[in-house]
Amino acid sequence: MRKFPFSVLAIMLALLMVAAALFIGAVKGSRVEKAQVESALGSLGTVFTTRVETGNNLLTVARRHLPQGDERMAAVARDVQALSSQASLAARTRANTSLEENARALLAILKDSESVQADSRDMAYVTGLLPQALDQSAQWTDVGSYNEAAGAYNDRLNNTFSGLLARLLGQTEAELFTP
Amino acid sequence: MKTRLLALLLAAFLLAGIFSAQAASALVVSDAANVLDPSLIEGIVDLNRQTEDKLDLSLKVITKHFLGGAQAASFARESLESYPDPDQIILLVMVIGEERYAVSLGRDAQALISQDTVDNLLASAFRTPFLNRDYSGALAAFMTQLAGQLQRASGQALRTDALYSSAALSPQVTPNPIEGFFRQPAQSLDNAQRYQAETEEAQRGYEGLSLWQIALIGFILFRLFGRDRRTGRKRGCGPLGWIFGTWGVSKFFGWRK
Repeated sequence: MRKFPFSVLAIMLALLMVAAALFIGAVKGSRVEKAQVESALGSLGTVFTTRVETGNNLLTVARRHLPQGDERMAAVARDVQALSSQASLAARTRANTSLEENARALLAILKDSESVQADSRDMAYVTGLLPQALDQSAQWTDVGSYNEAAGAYNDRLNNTFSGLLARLLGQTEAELFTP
Repeated sequence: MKTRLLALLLAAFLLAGIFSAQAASALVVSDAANVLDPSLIEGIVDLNRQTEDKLDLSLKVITKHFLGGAQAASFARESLESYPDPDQIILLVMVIGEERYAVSLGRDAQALISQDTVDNLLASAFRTPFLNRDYSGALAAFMTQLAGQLQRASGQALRTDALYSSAALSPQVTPNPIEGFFRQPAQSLDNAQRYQAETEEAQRGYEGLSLWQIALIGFILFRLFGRDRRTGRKRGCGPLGWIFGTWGVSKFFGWRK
C-alpha cells in the first residue's frame, strides 16, 4: 500500500487556512471600517440638535415680527420639525439642507423688516448672533465630511483585493447623502 | 536683578488674584448673554458669600440667549442638578431673546423659602424691568427682595448695598456669544468634535500592513526560525509555523487590529 502523502495534506491545509484567514480578515476589517462610518453617521444625528436649536431661536425672533402664517416661517418650522423627528437620517439630512436655505431667506426678510430695524436687540440677533449660529451649526453638521468618509470606505470596498473578498461575503456599501 | 524678580512675582500674584476673582464671580453668575453690569455681578458675589457663610445657601444666576425650544423651568432644573451641591442652591435663569425666566430651588433652600414665595418675588420685583430689558435692574431688585425674604426666614442679617454699588469695575471678560446661544454649548462642541474625529478616522480606514512591515516580520521570522548558520540545520518551522508566527508578531507590534 502506498504511503499517504502527509506533506501534500499539510500544504493543502496551510493553503486552506491562509485562504480562510484572508477572507475572515477582509470581512472583519471591512466590518470595522463600516462600523466607523456608521458611528460617524450616528454622531451626525446628535449634532443635528444644534440645527434644531438654531431654527427654533430664529423662529422665536421671527414670530415677534412676522404674521403667523408667513410662508418662510412655516418652511423653517417644517424643517425644524423634520430635523427633530425620529425620521431616517437621510430624511433629516435633507431637512438640514432645506433649513439652511429657508433660514437664510427668513433672515434676509427679517433684516429688511421695519419692526426689526426699530428693535436694536433683535436687529443684533438677525445680523449677528443668528447667522453666526447658523454658520457654526452648519459647520458642525457638515454632511460632506460624512460623505467623504463613506465614499472612501466604498472606494476601498470596490477597488481593493480585500474589499473584493469582503463583497463576496456580503459586505455592502455605506449610504451616501446627496442634497 | 532682585528688584526685577520681585516685580515679576508681584505681577504674577496680582494676575492670579484677578483671575481667581473672575473665576469666583463666574461660578456665581454665568453671564453668557453678556447683559449684566459688572458691579451688579460683584454685588451678587458678595451677597452669595454672606448666604454661604450664614445660611449655607448658594446663589447662582445664569443668563443665556435663547433656549432652542426648551422650557426655562426644565433648563433651570437641569442646570441646578448639574452643580455638585444642588440642594443648597437658589438658581435664577434669565433667557434673553425669549423674555423668559425661571428659578429652581434646591431641597435645603426650600426649607427657607418656598417656590410660591419666589414666584411672587419674581412677579412683583423682577418681571416688569426684565420684560423692559432692564436686566441688571430686574436682577438687582429680585436679589434685594430675595435677601430680605431669606433674612426674615433665618433671622440672619444680609447686606444688599453692594448690589447697587456704582463703583467702576473693569469689565468682565466678554464671552464668546455663541456660548450663550446653544443650550449646552460644551456638549454641542463635544458632539461636533466627535463627529469630525470619527469621519476622519473612517476616511482613513484600516490601513493594514505595509510592505515594509511585512518585510520586517519576514526578516525577524527568518532570523528566529531560519537555518542555523553554525550547524547548518533547520530550526524546524513549517508553513503553519510561519502563518502563526506572522499572526503573533503582527499582533505583538500592534500592526493588526
